[in-house]
Amino acid sequence: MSPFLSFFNKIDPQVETKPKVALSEVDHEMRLPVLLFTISGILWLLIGTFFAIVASFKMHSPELLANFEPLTFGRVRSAHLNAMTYGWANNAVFAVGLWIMARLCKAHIRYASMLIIAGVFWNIGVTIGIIGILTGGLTSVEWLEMPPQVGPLLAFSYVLIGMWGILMFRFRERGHVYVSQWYILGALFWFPWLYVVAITMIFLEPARGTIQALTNWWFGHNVLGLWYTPMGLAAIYYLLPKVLGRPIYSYYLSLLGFWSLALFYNWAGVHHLIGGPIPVWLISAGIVASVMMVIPVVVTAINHHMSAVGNARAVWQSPTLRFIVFGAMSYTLASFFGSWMALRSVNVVTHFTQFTIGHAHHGVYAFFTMTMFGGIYFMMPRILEREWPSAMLIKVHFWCAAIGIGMMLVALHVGGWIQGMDLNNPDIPFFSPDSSARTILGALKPWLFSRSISGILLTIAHIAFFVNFALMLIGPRAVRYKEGPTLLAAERKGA
Amino acid sequence: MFEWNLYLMIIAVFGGIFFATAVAALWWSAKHGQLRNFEQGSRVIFDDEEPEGVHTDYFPGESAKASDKLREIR
Repeated sequence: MSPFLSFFNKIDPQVETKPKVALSEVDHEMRLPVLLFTISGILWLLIGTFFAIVASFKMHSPELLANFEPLTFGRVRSAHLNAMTYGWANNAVFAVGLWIMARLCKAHIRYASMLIIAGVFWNIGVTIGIIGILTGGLTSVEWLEMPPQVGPLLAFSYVLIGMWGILMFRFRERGHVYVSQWYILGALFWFPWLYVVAITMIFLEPARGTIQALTNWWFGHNVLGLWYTPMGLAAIYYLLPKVLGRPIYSYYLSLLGFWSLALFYNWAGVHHLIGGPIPVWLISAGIVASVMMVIPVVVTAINHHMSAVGNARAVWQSPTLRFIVFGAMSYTLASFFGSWMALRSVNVVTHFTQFTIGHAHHGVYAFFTMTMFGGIYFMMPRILEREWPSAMLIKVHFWCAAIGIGMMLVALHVGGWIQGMDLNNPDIPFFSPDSSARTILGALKPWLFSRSISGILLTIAHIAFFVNFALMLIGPRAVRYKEGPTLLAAERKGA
Repeated sequence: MFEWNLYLMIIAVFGGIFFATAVAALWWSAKHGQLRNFEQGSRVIFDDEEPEGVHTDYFPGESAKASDKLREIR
């Protein structure tokens, strides 16, 4: 065996020794980095929500803030995407993903300062990037709009985080690699690969012509599929059985799901260029890979469903599981939609419409963000040894987020489909001075308006989350439940 | 056209290595007993502090009521 691979094989998984480190010790040692990432993530979530609301209102009321240059649509839309992606989502991944990794390794935390340095630099990088976008320094590459100058700063922070993950894994005290660890390890390895290749081939040593577009969508789609998806699934596979107190329905299926994702997903992004000027065989390969994704999705869906079925009350009584199960169900649905949208006959309608925007929110919000909310609800009481101060605020957060995103998905999918059908019909004009005429814009406007309403609901949800989190950090009320439910003390007394 | 193909070759190589690493990881896991004894593997998330068979998350302040209800159902 090569020395490289033997580096990771410290303990025999068949001989399960009792780890010497307790979970509460791991939680305690992870406190500082997790807090740094979570606080930054939640602040970015609020900033990103503000940009989202502005962008959404501008879609149906273009005169809003039209004379204020930094918030013109092109900039504010990109600022929203980047604040949510690199600000909120990545910080949430670093907090929840690395915490789960640490817990599963069951070893003392080494080099936590690496994470602190990485966290500080990462957030400085994103801040400079967002300011760059708002002041007009943005690029035209979707998902990589931040000025390329911040690339090295983000890459450096990321390298530290990736190295920390690998070192944590190397010094693990558990022989068996749990499925969540596979997902997190995979994601930690894939993301820098994607980022470095994309930055190199688009900005540093730009490839010619459509290869740039190809690299762009290979990157853009894989950020979702090989970074957020594995991190979200890792959280679900850890927290669903953990909260219910019983192992996952089929561990075999969970591993099958991971390996099929690892082998097939990488190709799928090409479906963004269906109809574009690239070789047809490449697009066909992308479509085949997209449809192949049905395998890991079905496998994962069966597994999640069978694990939660019959435990509806337990799911309902846990804030974590409300969000996690919502996320898991959304993952299944969003993935099926994704495979379906990759078919040429469907794509000819949905391409260049709000349907795609709806699909992106289905994946990143309904699945990923909801899952991360669930993860944070489980994680913070253990990290801070305090209880969430308000059950009511958690419920407000859940209901506003669930109804808000549900409404947004209906609006964008239905509105987008109508838009696509209209775009393919040469008799329907885009716009007409005659207000009674049937136009593409006229048909789309009510759906865009309802998207803004859903955005207000999401804003309320995020504010409730922020207030609850802030009170937990600084408010005295949070300590009242110190012996509280999520810390298990009460459960043990009652049992 | 030559340049286009050259770049395509470069990303094909990147893609190939990407795929190869996934295959290598799968090979490693098979070789080192990670794909055996799933029953034991699925239980590594539980320990003395958060044991199997115990629900570990409720709304704050509602644990006693909620766990009573769950016991009734069982």
